Amino acid sequence: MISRLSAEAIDLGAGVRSVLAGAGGVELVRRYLVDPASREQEIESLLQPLGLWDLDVTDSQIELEAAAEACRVGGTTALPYPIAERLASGSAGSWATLVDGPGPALIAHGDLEGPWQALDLAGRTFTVTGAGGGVVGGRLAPFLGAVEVSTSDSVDDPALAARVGTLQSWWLLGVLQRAVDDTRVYLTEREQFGRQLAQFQALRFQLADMSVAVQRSEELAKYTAWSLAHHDPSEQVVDAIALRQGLIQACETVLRGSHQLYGAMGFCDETDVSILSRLSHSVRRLPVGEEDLATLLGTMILDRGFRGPFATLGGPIEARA
Amino acid sequence: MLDYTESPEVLDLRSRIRHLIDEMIPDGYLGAFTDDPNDLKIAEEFCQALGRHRLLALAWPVDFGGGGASSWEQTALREEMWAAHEPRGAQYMGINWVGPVIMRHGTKEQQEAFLPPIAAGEVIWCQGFSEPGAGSDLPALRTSARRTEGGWHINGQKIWTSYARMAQWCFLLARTGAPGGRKDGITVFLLDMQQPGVEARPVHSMLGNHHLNEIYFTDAFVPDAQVLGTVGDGWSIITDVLAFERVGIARYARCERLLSEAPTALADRWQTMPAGLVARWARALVRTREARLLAYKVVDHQNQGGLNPADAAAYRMAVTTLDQEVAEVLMDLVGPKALDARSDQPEFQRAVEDHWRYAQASTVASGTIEMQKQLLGKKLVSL
Ligand SMILES: Cc1cc2nc3c(=O)[nH]c(=O)nc-3n(C[C@H](O)[C@H](O)[C@H](O)COP(=O)(O)OP(=O)(O)OC[C@H]3O[C@@H](n4cnc5c(N)ncnc54)[C@H](O)[C@@H]3O)c2cc1C
Repeated sequence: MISRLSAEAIDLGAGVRSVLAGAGGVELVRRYLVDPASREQEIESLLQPLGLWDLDVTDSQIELEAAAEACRVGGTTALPYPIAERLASGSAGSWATLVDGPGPALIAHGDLEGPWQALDLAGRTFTVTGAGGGVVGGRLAPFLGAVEVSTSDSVDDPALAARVGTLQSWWLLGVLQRAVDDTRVYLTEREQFGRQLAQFQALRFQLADMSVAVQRSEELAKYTAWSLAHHDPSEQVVDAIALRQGLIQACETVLRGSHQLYGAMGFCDETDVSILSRLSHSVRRLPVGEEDLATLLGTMILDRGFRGPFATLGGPIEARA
Repeated sequence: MLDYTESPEVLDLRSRIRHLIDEMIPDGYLGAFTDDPNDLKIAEEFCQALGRHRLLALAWPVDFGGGGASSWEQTALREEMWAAHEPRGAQYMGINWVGPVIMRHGTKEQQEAFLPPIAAGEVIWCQGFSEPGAGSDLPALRTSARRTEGGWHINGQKIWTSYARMAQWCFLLARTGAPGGRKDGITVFLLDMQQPGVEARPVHSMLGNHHLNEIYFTDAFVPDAQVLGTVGDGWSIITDVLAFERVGIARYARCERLLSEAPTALADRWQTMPAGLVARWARALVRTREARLLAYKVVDHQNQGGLNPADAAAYRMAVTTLDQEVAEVLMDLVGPKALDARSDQPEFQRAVEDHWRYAQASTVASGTIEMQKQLLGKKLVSL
């Protein structure tokens, strides 16, 4: 058993990190808040030389790991680009997003024209119209668009739904890792009562809780990426939903903690944590909130099982005994 | 590259262990420390059977009578045992850390005397660390050892000592240096429990029998040959003990097993289970998977020679809180009947009641969660 990413994935991640840092990191987000339309071209060409858009995640575990790591690194700067949605479809070239069924829908980056394609969490496919109409979200979702989703004749694609969900979760993982890291540094910089905040055990304890929440999510994210390369689509879907649930739960611990430990500074536009917190919502709340997600997950696990050494439930996953 | 496949050796080991459990452990068995003394006997026989199959000291080097297993096989063994309510009873301690520490710090004579009975499942050890005044602050311990003809006289009191009344031996910390010497002047003694100067008494608790005891020492004798390591330098050995205990019990394994069994075990009630409770159950399964994966990360890093105490602390925080979170979910799934613990009640219901009680101690036993947070938090702000 190996819980470490391939060297290729780590290299690609390092490349993405250096390109994004060179372009300003979270500063990019502040620029695009003013002019959202300019981000598509700019970010696309920024990442183009790294070969990112040539990755085919359906091809091999190595490419899947590389795509996941690229999404995670994107998340560390709250990259306002449909990187997960674009990488998920592989060579098909569409931008795949998740919705809750037909009808009017809000989708992250729906202010851009696409070529969009939509799926629900279980993998039913839908057609998207009306994208590119501009931003509809407020401060919590500054790159959100409104679209119309209708039923499609295309066959279900649970594996694609699992990939989008998983890669979006990797992006969110990057957001959370960065939030913990910034908070950690802030505690060593800010002084009150004549000493560093880091000297206060209550704050270190809260930071430790935040770190554990992120570490849990990171291991789950790695397992789920691997699962996508090894298990049936019906199981991949369950694992991807479980990962999303895990990340959303971690958001509450981590981002709530960051806001608290930063004091008033954590709400300011000039503080990266504020940007990270705001941009997390388009994954946290869409296509459904945590309670709906956990309820759906429960139904699916009863039906399909949940792999583990002591699993006894569901269809395809047999207990090993 | 990521790889979560279990090797054929690990899968084979799991099936051998499950086979043996099926054969030897009766249905409804909830571990060695229930009110039924027969459960203790079952654990003893099971340990000796494990010993015969060389499965007890699986992790030990072959030279010391062990199975020379890989760390993944050890992990699987820990999971299988805990998922089956630890049918090894008290003996897991001798295997997990007493033996390994004697291998590392003991003399040849000590190794020859103490290791074979542990590997054969014939002996029970207890851990004499905590005292009334020394809990999290272990260096405050005061039990004293005074020189006497051919050895040492021990005086003082230990508390919370699991299995003390059934143990033949105690891995004891006592102060050979000046009082108040903190980490200096502590010595490790391998003390024979069957002697007049040792009195072990039960501490009755919600956890069940044998988990908590106290021991009084009045001029208890330990010969020189049973001092482990150097006199006065016991703290370095304690550090090793804690390192061996770091991954500790695979609590997530029993959580996964009970959660997985719930829909079948509670089939009637499950038909009308509120959606919100099913959602909590699903969340608990996700948390359980996360804790297991964190354990695997620690093992994987350990195999790479890079055990990071902060990673181990993070895992301990995750797995101990998991135990309690899952306990709450299981109690709600079972409903009020969980309080009916009569032996004729359904096995699952009794297992949940047992799990809830023992889970309460998970964030205290073997070092509190606050000590883990202290370690991890300090590491984080000093990066
Ligand atoms: C089931 C069980 C089995 C056990 N078995 C054994 C055994 O076999 N042998 C043995 O030697 N011991 C055993 N113990 C004892 C165990 O190691 C201690 O309970 C543990 O180390 C904590 O010590 P304490 O209980 O004295 O709590 P205390 O140290 O008094 O702590 C009380 C509370 O204060 C917190 N606290 C203490 N200091 C700090 C600090 N500096 N900062 C923040 N918070 C702090 C603690 O985290 C805890 O929440 C066992 C305990 C249990 C529950």
